[in-house]
Amino acid sequence: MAEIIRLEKLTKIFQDKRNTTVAIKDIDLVIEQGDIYGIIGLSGAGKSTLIRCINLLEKPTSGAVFFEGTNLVELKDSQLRQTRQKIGMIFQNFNLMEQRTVLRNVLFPLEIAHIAKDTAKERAVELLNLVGLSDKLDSYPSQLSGGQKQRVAIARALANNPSVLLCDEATSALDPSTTLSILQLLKEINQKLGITIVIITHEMKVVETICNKVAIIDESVIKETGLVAEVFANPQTPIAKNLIYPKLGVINKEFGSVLLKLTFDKTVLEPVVADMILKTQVAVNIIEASIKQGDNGSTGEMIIQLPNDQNSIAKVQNYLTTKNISFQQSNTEVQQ
Amino acid sequence: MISLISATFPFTYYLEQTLITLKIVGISTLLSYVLGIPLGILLNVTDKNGLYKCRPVNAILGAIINILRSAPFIILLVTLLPAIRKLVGTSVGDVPFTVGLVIAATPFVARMVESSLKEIDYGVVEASLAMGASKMRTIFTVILPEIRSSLIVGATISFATILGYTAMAGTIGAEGLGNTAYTYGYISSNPEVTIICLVLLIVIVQIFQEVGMRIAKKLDHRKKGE
Repeated sequence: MAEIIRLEKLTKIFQDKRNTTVAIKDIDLVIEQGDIYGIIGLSGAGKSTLIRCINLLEKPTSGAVFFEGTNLVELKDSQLRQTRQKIGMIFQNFNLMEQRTVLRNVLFPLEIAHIAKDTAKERAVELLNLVGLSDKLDSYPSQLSGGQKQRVAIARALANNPSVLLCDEATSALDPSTTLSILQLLKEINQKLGITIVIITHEMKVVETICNKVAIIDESVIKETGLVAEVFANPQTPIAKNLIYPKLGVINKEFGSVLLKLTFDKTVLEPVVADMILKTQVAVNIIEASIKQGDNGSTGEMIIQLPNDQNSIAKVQNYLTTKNISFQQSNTEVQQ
Repeated sequence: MISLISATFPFTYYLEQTLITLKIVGISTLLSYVLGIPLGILLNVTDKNGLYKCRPVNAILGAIINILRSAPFIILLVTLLPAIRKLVGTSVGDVPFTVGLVIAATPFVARMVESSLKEIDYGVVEASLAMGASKMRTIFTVILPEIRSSLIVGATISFATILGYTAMAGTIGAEGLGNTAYTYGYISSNPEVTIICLVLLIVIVQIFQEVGMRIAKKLDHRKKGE
């Protein structure tokens, strides 16, 4: 796949009279066309500054930002503004214009691009259709729910056919089920329109749900990058381990060294775990579970610990495979 | 009430004075806004988190505004009037007073506009820039429309303040209800004239405030539907 964004030695230092703060330091990152690239880190790690450096909302102190082969740092203001039209962005707090209707919010970027009124309106309506808000054209943002606001923001960000969509904690202000629906919409946009997506988040769940690649940022530097499946299965750095298996606390390693992370991405009606224990006759230890009970069953994830016995492990794995429940294996050594 | 009015002055006299007051206040408010909006914007954008951060401009402009704002209106007016009269070349009529009012009110308006501008959520500004809008476009098509209700509320407050200034200027000769109250009410010991003028001034302020607030509310889509 062709690369679309390349960050080279990107550094941003904030300086005022009293303090010098290094927000990001020597960041090298390549994002390829079609990626849904998750950049995850704890708050204060520098991820917000990083994403703002991609479209130069923050001017990097040093380093280069290549977008489709052009170094944005070297562009003149007017050229930069042109380029920004090709880089959509959505935010944690949606940042809609409260005094404009939904339709006029989506029209705004088209006004900037000097698109003829009729064409612009057609385009805006089409986009609001895509995000499922065709009945809200004349509503004002204050009349919408958080999820609907983010949908308007997505429509607005897509107006000028960008090749990249930057998402700055786009789901952090939303409840879990709304988060899921917004993530599904982003995935759809990625697949149907071929738009590369960069997601900044502190929630592992977001990365797990839609990203194909992930970069882990901590203390201003990138600690680890790779395919989500690989990084998750075998995290190398302490911070990665911490983010992927958070707040497990002390685990009794005597019981067994194998951990399974079960993901119920489809809704499950039967009491799977109870059934698994009965069928396999393996006593598993539930370490953590975050299961949401919905109208059509439950979704979420669960981490279980298995006894140190190959037979039992195989039985459980078989059971899960036949039930079509996805799981990832790791061991207690991953925990620090 | 009618008989009371006709006791000293006919009804038409008060109407005439009311219209003169409204004219002076209207023109002064308008001119103060013509000057105050750009100055308020300039104060805001040159501030430390502004779009065109520029400390020297901000500090100098801020200092001038603070000095003019600190001077009690009537003292400022009597200090400036001789120079204004020379400048505009007329010693009679409303013109010198209007100029004085504008000089005194513009710094006030600039601060009102500046404080309205602070209401903007920076995220919205950021979103606009991220979409490729220029800073100028962001100021005029995003920030100002977003804070329009606050600007209108500010304008009604400015109107009442300038009305107060005009009434004060009446004591040194500016025409209108303030002058009537002072000359024919206070000096001539005619309390009903003072009271009628007072009531008329209060009614004017109340009408403008009510209308202004209603317009501001109607134009504000932030809270509706909640």
